[in-house]
Amino acid sequence: MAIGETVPSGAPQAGRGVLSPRPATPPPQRWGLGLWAWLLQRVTGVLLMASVALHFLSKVVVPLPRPAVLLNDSLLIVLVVYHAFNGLRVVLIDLGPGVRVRRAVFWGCLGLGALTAAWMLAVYLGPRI
Amino acid sequence: MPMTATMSPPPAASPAASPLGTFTLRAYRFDPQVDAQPRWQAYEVPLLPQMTVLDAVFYVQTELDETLAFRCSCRVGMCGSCGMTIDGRPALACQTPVAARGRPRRPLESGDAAMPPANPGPPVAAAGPGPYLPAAPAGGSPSAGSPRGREASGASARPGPRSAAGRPLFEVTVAPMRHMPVVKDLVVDMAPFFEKYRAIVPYLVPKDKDAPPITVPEGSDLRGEIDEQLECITCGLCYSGCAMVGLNPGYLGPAALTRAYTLIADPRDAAREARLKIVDDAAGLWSCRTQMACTDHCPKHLSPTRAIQQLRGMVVRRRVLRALRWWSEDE
Repeated sequence: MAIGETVPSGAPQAGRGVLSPRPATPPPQRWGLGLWAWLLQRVTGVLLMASVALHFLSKVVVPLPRPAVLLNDSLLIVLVVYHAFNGLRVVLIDLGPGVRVRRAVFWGCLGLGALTAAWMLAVYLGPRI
Repeated sequence: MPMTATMSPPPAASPAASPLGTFTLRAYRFDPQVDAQPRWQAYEVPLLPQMTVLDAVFYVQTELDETLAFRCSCRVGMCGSCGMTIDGRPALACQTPVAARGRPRRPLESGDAAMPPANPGPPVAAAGPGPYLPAAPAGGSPSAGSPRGREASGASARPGPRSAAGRPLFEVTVAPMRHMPVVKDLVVDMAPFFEKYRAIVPYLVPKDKDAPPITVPEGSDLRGEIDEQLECITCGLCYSGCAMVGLNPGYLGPAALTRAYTLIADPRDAAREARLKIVDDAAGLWSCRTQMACTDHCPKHLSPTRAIQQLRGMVVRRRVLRALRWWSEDE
């Protein structure tokens, strides 16, 4: 039986249900803000290790080309700021008040983080490019 | 892809007709006894005023396909039987209006794309479309004459103005709750959920059976924290929505931990220490990653995350005090 074909049932009026071409798996759960924040915290944590290592290398071991340093340091700023502000959000949740106003805390921390990162990037990159 | 059709003949009813149009209900179909693979099945359902997702699956079962299995009982959000994954979110079918497209706890608003009029008016003479249908108004409904059993493609079924061809107004997907084995279609075996619930000894263990019961007044601070967590109906939606249960199947889950908290914080309970020991575990309190999906999806507006955080606070305070005591004794 072809996908999309009417389900046969033998009755003249049959077939209001149709088989669908969609994959036959449960729909993915829609992700809430908390799950995104959690995942990004892990991702930024791992990326931070690489970025900090690269930063250390460029400062102490072997100088990297200037564009690579600027790119890595800019990335480092963004990663550090997100990780720090989301960490602040988690602390607020741990202490209690963050649960009730979780969306406000999430967007508040994200907004403050974005402002901080923008300011830091401007201060860092402004004189260098 | 192998497909198995396990349908019995639907009743030979007259075409589904509703003055408000129709929508597509896409249901997850799976009978582990028969099917090798689950599949999606789409049904065109007439939209009724104030219709809930439970009304829609009832309509499908009554009018279109009696083999669709789902579970329900009270229909008013008290029993917690009709938990499903609706449009990707865990929710009670009886509390989710179809016009809100599965968004939990969102009241029907006049701006909804598929919002029916507040008072659709008295039905005209019934044309025999079945118990779930209002009669079609004179002149026919926009959906009358539309081909039944039509493929409802995802792109064309999104909310929006009804096209001239009379396509469904929008689509609602219903699937079983997650993290529990499917018994059939939308019915899951909640044994894993209740096994974990039982693991925390979910009942009050009185301190002294012969003593008169301790009275805790309603407004007392003692009850302040617990009161808001007592309304749990063990529907399993928090368990279904928790990503950490999916990653760690041994995790007790939000409902069991919330129940544990209400008992641990209860001064009348004698099993406090034993219960704290059970929940103070990697598969207990410490598996929570405060993603708060449980709080987002709880149909009773409870916050299991908050209960878990309170328990964590208790455990940390006890550990710190124990360390201080050990240190001072050592001195």
